[in-house]
Amino acid sequence: MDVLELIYEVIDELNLDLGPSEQLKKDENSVIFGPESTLDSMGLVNLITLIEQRIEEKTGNFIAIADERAMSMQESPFKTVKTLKEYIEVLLNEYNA
Amino acid sequence: MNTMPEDRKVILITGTSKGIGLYLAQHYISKGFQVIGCSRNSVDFSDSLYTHICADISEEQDILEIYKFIRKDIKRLDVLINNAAINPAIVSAALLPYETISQTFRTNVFAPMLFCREAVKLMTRNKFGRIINMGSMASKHEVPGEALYTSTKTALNAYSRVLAKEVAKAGITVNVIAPSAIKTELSGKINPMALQEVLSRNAIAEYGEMNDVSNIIDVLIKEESSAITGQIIYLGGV
Repeated sequence: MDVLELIYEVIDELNLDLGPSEQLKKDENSVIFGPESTLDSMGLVNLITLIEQRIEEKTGNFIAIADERAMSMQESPFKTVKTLKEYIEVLLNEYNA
Repeated sequence: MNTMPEDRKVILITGTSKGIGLYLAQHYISKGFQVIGCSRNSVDFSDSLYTHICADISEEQDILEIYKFIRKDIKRLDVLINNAAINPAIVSAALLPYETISQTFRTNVFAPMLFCREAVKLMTRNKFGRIINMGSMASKHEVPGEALYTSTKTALNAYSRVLAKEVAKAGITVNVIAPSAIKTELSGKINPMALQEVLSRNAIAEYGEMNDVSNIIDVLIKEESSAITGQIIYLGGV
């Protein structure tokens, strides 16, 4: 599964509901959480939820992205599209191992 | 095959095998809702509009399985009523065993939080949701012997008020209904004299009725009630 492509599909879907100044760029460096992000807290919830949903549709398995490890990591996986992608890849690899 | 009409609202109620939960399940079936209920035990009724799931809600995995079923087979959730609760020990706070404290918090606080977490994810899809958490007049009355139960319900009040602020933009409201004492198995564990004394502090010093609860929930879950959120509504003039 191309995780980056999946995240971009979800960003496309999210952007449909966001105003011109709130659009999230399909870029690995896009910030998804914090003051520099165009997403507010519910926007981030939507992003995570839609990604979890897409993974479940594609694999039949529900994988919680916002798990305890994610919350306790020194470098949050919810910082940029790139960090999120890398974290999801780790979760998928572990699930499939 | 799911033949549910697209406009039929879906309501998830915890603790539907008895008491207020059972009453609410049957009330909303009669109103044409698709009702999903859960409890440790099975229920002794069936209806084409009702699905029962046996679950131990103090276990996160059981809650996730309920939502997996809703996502796959029902595909939407409009209303969540966090009703299930336990009150295993009416005893001095100085005598509460750790496991009793832990189990009560898992059921009365952690479980509603997990139900809310997963409900918000589903409700944001439709930009509509109504969450009702069941509180208690115990939060106001601070009755000796009820420290554990009271603290779980007060935690749920605080959680609900914060959650209401987080999810308002997504069209989701969160409110707490705190009924007066209603004759159920749970309230039956309380010394009747002590309960009467507590009830005497209310404007209405009598037991409440089940329909007092459904009456206010009926109002809160209406689409038009989008501005009523973050409220703790005490019944009986507490």
